[in-house]
Order: sequence, then C-alpha cells, then structure tokens
Amino acid sequence: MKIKESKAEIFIGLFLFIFALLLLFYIIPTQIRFVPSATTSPRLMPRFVAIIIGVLSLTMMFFGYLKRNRLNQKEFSISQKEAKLVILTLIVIAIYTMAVKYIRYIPTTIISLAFLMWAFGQKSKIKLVLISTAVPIVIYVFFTNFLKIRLP
Amino acid sequence: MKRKISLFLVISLIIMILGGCNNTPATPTTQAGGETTQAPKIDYPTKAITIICNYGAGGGTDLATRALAQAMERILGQPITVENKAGGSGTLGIIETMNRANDGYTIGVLTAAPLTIVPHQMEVPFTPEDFDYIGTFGQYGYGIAVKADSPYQSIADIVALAKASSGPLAYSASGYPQPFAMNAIGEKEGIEFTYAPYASASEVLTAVLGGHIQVAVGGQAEITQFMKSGELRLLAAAGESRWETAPEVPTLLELGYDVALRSYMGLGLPSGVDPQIAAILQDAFSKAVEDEQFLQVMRNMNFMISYTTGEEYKEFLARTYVENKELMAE
Amino acid sequence: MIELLLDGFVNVLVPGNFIYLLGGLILGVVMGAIPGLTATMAIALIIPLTFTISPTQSLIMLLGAYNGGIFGGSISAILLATPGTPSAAATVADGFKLAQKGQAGKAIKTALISSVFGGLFSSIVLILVAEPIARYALKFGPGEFTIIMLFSLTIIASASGKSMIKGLIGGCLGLLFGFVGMDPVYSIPRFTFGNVNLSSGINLVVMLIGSLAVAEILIQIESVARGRTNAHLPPPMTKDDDRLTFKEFKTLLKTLVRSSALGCAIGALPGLGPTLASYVGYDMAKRNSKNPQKFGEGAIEGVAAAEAANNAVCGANLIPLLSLGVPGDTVAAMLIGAFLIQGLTPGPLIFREAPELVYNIYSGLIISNILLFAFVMLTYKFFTNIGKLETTVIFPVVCMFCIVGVYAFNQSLFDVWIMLFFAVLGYILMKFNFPPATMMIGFILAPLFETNFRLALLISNNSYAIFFKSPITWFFWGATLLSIVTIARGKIKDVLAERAIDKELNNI
Repeated sequence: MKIKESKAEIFIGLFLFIFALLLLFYIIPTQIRFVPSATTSPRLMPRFVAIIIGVLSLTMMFFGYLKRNRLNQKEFSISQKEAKLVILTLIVIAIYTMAVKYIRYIPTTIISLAFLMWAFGQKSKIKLVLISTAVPIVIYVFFTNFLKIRLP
Repeated sequence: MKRKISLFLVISLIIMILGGCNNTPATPTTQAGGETTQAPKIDYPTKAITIICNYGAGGGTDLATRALAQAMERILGQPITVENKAGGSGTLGIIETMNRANDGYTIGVLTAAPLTIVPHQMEVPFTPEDFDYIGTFGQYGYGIAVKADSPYQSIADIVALAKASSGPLAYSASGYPQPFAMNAIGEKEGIEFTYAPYASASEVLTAVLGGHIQVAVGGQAEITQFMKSGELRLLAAAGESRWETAPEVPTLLELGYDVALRSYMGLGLPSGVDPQIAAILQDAFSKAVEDEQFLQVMRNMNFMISYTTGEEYKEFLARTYVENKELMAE
Repeated sequence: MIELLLDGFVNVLVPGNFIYLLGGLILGVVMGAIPGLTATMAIALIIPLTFTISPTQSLIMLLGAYNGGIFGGSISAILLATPGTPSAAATVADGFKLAQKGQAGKAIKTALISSVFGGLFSSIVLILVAEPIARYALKFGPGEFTIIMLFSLTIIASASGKSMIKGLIGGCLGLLFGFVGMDPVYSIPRFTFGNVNLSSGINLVVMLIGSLAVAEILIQIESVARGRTNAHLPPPMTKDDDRLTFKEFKTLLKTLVRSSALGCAIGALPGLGPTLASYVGYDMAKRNSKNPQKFGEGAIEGVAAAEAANNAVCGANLIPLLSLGVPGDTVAAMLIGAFLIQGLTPGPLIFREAPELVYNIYSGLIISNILLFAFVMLTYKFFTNIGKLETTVIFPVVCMFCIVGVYAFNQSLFDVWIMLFFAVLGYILMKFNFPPATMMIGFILAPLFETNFRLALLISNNSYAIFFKSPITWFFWGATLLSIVTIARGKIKDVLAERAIDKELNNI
C-alpha cells in the first residue's frame, strides 16, 4: 500500500482537524469540570492547545494540497507482509497483557516469546526453546528476589 | 576425592550466600496472643507479609513504613516487604489494598488524606468503611512558617500584612488539609487568602525561601529541617499540640483560631480479615511502634509518633470524612 | 579544602566503602540499561538498604547508582533504539543510527566519555561554587520558570527537523498528554475518563518506552518481515568504527563544555531533571554546530551533547541539596530521605555537622565518574556483542523486557496498556515522518509550563507583570526571541533551498 506524502498530509490534517474540534466541543467540556471561581481555568491550556492543533492541521491540509503536484515527493508505504507482522506483534502483546493475570508470568512469557520468535522466522528449534524458557525465568528471579517486585 | 570436596564446598557456599540474601530471620519469636485467655488457634504468620505503601519509594511516608516494617518483622518473625503503589494523591495504593485478598497477608498503608479528603475531590471506589484498621503509627505535623529574615514574628503580623495588601495574600501549601488552616484564620479575621498550590512539601518552602511567597503552610518534617539551619521561622503549629522541636511556638488553637490539622499514617487491612489474625497484627503493631530503631528513624525524620488503635483510627476517619465534606464544599 | 578533599578520596577508596560505590555503580548501569527500569528506580530500591549502613556508604552507593544509571540508559538507546532511562531519549536518534552503521562501539564510547565529562564537570562546579549558585537558584520563582519553559517550548520547533508543522503537531499532542491527570491548581481530574489509574497522569517512562522503544521495534519488525534475520546490527567495518579517535574527541570539546554547563544549570534549578537537560543540550549543540543536518543521522556530537548534559545533572542537583537542603529533582528528594534516615539534615548545617561526609560525597562523585569510565571500557565488548544477536531473538526479548519494566514501575498492568497505546501511536507517527522527540518534549514541558504559568498568576493576583519583573525573566524573554529568530531564519533558508530544487526539477 502506498500513499504520496501530499495526500497523506491532507488526510492526516483532516483527521487532526476533526480531532481538534472534538476536543474543543466535546472532550474538554466533559472531562474537565467547570470551576466558576477560577482565576486561571483548568480548561484554559487544553483549549489553547486544541486551537493550535486545529490551526496547524488546517495548515497541513493546505500545504498538502499545494504540494500535490510536486515531483520529488516521498511515499509512505507498507507491504502486506510487513503490516501482517507488525499487527501480529501488537496482538500478541495485547493478548499477553490480558492473559498474564490469569496464567502467571513465566508460562505466558515463555509462550509469547516462543511464538514471536517463530513468527519472526527463527529457524533453529534449539535456540527458540532455550531462549524462550531461559529469559522469562531469569527475569522472574531477578525481579522477585533481587528487586523485590512482584510479578503476576 | 579432592574434586568432590571442593564441589561440595562451592555448593554449600552458594547455598549459604543465597540463603543469606533472603534475609529471613532465624527463628520466629513466640507470638503470644498476649493477655487473652487462650492461645491463638491459628498459625499466623506462616509466610511473608506485604505492606502496600501508597506513596512513592524514598519519600517520607515510605521510609517511615519501611522502618515500621523492619520492626514488625522482628516481632512477627516473617519477612515483610513493602510494595509501593503511588499515585492518585495516595488513592491508588489504597485501592490496591482493597482489591487484595483479606487473608491477612496484605496490609495497606492507609493515610488519612486520601481517605477523608480526596473522595470529595474526585470519584474513588472506596470509603473509610471498606477497611479494617490496625492503627496509626505516625502523624503528619503542619505549621505556618515564614522566612527567618522577614519582619513577620507572629500570625498577627501576617494578618496585618494580608489586610494591608491590595489583593488577597498568597500562601503556599502542598494540598489539603493545609488550606483549612488559612481558611480558619481568614474567616476569623475577615481576610482573604489565595492558595498557591505547590507539588511537594519542599517546593512549598522553597517558594518562601526565594521570596516569592511570604507565608507557607508546610509539613513539620520539612519545616524543622529549615528551622535547624536557620532559614525559616515557625509562626504557629497547625495541629492540636505544640511541636516537640519548637515548644515556644503556639498552636493556632491557642491563638484563637478554630482549626487543628490532623492527618495520620495508619495501617489497615481489606475488610473481613479473620479477627484472630487482626488481633495478632494489632498486638505486633503496638509493640513495633515502641521499637527503638523505629523510633530513632522517626525522630531523625522529624515525624511525630502517634499511636492509636484500629478502632480509634476508624472513628477518626469516619468523623473527619464527614467534616471535610463540608469544609471542601466551601 | 584540598586537604579535606584528599581525606575524602582516601575515605572513599577504603575497601569497606569502595565496595558500596562499585556496587551502586554497577547496579545503576545494569538497571539503566534495561529498558523500563530507570535510574530513579535503582535509587528507590537502594534507599531502604541504607537504614543500617554508614552515611558515607549510603550516599556514595546512591550517587554511584544515579551516575551509572543515567549513563546506562544510553547503552540500550544506542544498541536497541530503546532508551533505558528517560534521560537517554535524546541519545536514541543519533546513537542508534551510528550503531546501524556498524559504529556502535564508537557511539558507546562517545556516550561514556561525554557522561564522564559531564559528571566531572558538574562535580567540580559543585565543589567550588555550590552555595552561590544555590542561593541564586532560589530566585527562580514561577514567573521566571514560565519564561524558561516558553524558551524550552521553542526547542520543539527546533527539534522538528524538516517539517515544522509535523513537529509542532507532535509537540501539541505531547502537551495534551501532559495535561492528563489532576489539575495542578484545583486538584480536579482532567482527561481521566473516569479512570483512577489516569488520575496521576501518564508516566513519562511508560510513554517513552511505548512511543520510542516499542514503536521503533515495530518499525524494525517491518525489515524482519522482509527477511532480515541475521545480526541486527552490522559489525564495525574499520578499527575506527569501534573507538573514538582523539581527533574526533577534540571536535567534541566545545559541545561537551556547552552541554555540561547547560546540564549544570538545569540540574541546579528545582523540578527540571536530566531528560529535559539532554534534549536542551542536544538542541543547543545542533543549533551551534557546523553541520546541523547531520544531527539525527548519526552525529557523535548529538550523542555527546545529550549524554554530557544528562550526567551533569547528577552532580548539579546536589548543588541545591547540599547547600540549602532543597531537592533539584525527584532523585534529590529521595536523597534527602537518605540523609534523614542517617539523622543528618542536608542544608547549610551539614557543613558543620558532618564536613567529612560532604567531602566524602564530593570525592565519591569524582571517583564514581572515573570508575564508570574504567568499568565500561573493560566491559563494553560485552555490550556491543548484543549487536550481534539475531533480530529474531533480540526483538521479542526486548519487547518482553519493555513490558516487564513498564509493569514493574508501578506494579500496574494498566501502564502496560498505556504503553501499548503509545506504541501504536508512536508507530503511526514514525511511519508518517512525525518526529517522536517533539511529542516527548511537549509531554515533559506541559506540566512545567502550565503549573508555573498558573501559579505565577495566582501569586501575582492575575497581574501579568510578574512575567517581566526580574532580570532573569528579561534574559529568558531575550533567549526565547533569539531562539525563534534563529529557527525562523533556518526555516526560510530551507524553504528557499527546496524551491530552488523544485525549479530545477521542473526545468528538466
């Protein structure tokens, strides 16, 4: 998948502009209580920053539009394979965080490590098993006994 | 043969080192239920106990907790580790305690401010009723201080300054309940103050030292430090009694203001712990607060030692919770 | 004074004390190097151990750990693009690029020499002029700090690299994230979406690891998908790739002095810290360098500037601590605790109560820097060998370290989710060429700027005059204006250059 820089800028600018509007009119009013006696309101700075983001995003869209016919533009691309691996890693981390509470630290880490190493293309089975078991155990011992920090 | 002996020596050396690293005391001291008529039927403690401290490692509350933990370790005979779970103005640690098993092996440091003040500032999932209390081991002292080379010798001088200022006089403090003290003065004298919040107890005083703020409501530990070095002058003690380290300085109560700030460091358990375990803990606790090493650390850090029992603390918290609700609404 | 100092040296070198210094140093370096564990954590862990040892042993152990930890962060920053401590965030950009060119050894040695230089520089400043500096530092109140922060905000623009807009947006996002938490003045929650875990704000370490470390790993994973499964860093190609030559060192001298001085200044002012110091040092070096475009592509000047500045903070934050008893940052606040446990009060009295301790501390600082140099020079081969590990091994393992480090920070799985959020965000930002550094700078500066600004207005009763009162504010207004002008000039030059290139291309 490819996208030219100028197009990307237009889209991102649009996204950010909508975000800035959301901030100003929804998020800030609901998240921050109104303090009537305030000399400097808790909403002051966030509002200020939201406005700046709005302005900047419009500028970005504008420049992106201007640049649309430039010849030496950068292209942002990501191939299917790359995207798959990245998303896979993120999913593994997410599942890991959820699972580690129930299955304790050492087993979850061993499984995740082994899986990731295999997904990344590690061929040697010995290395896979060795590292994915040794590392979690070392970490666990180091943290619980030496640093006195509890792991799940 | 030689090899076997040296191998044996190496292994036993390693075992000794590892064993030494674990810091378990040799034998548990006898734990008498004490004066009760029958010995406790349950065997407690049989494994390590955890104390969850609701402030960051290395801070005042944390250090006091660790000193206490060491004393209790000596009495109970099991290792006691302190875990820090700071944040949320002290509420995160309390919530963590609440969520742990009430088997008696998790104790929480339950300080007064997050239990009685913070609930009125934001949503918290607990009230003081949700815990069983062991007791308090320390009290946070507060005082009103000014720069030593300033012309203010008493609270009356500050009142005069406030009246003479074109706008409200600003004072520095690091959170509630400190502003209650200035509010009380303001109410009685009919003057307004502006509360300038600083993030930590030492920043509160640095502002005064730098001349940016004229008067501060600060912590006893920190103010004492600067009194010793001659940089700050204490105008009044903000608690119910005069400071041991400054017996000539009056309290706000003595000066006629209806306020005495009280905030404690206490220990508690998630509610529903077996009463026998609770009794053992209370007993150990009451002995620990008299432990000489613990007292020495507290003295070094200029903390007031204050021992009250679990019930007394619970009562105090419930009462203060309601009082503060009104005070905070102002 | 020289005599006392020499006595101090002797005291620290006594084996009974020396072992604490060495132990603290090694612990600091190790914890600093592990992503997710920071120098501050190392100190927090050591403090309870100091109940029973002597004041000298306790303090030199803590200082050794601090110094070692701040350096240690650069090791993983260089080798793994993962800052081991927040203070190494500025080192990642150039450090990792150097490593990718096979010059990891050079990068680590540059970081080492710069850290030691910064540490020694600030130690000497501490010993010679602590008191007057500390007194002067007191004069910095909320009004002054606001303008300093204003100046620091211009660094965001300067750090934006090629696209100013993207950099500024990154900075604004960082600012927004910095607002999450309790309002500093009214203590009401902001942007917490009802979640208590967010009420104390987002943690710098968590955000850093997520948006810089894990995000970078995700980018690297793309290349793994393309089939890069061998050693994740190329080996040094020439002998010189592995060392810092004397010639190179000479070119770094000006940068080193400038960064160390900046680090000292920032360390002496309460509330700022080594992370800000490293970004400021980096930025100043970039602006004053003869080839600023090399920054971010593997300039040893960049590494040197960042590391000298952040280690200078170690010595400098003792300046207010020892002379007045006022902490320069969180670590110094913990050090006060260490003093108090021993029954000593840091501040002017300590020179009378325990002068030998003070000189032991001074010597300890100096020796810890020398020791750091020796230790790392002996062991750096071990570190650079990490570069030889295969990508398929190193990335999953580093991921796990990041997760565990973030969890360990506050025993919170919630933090790990936040890390994940920032990993995704950081990845997207990196993909579209947003500079991640600007988000970090914005995040660090948000509370500093806002709190001081609002506090200043509170104190002055809403009078803006407080921002113009003292010479300090004038100086920083001037610095801010100068900064904006230089950035604008640079930007205009860039735009004109681009236009010229465009014209050429269109004429072809």
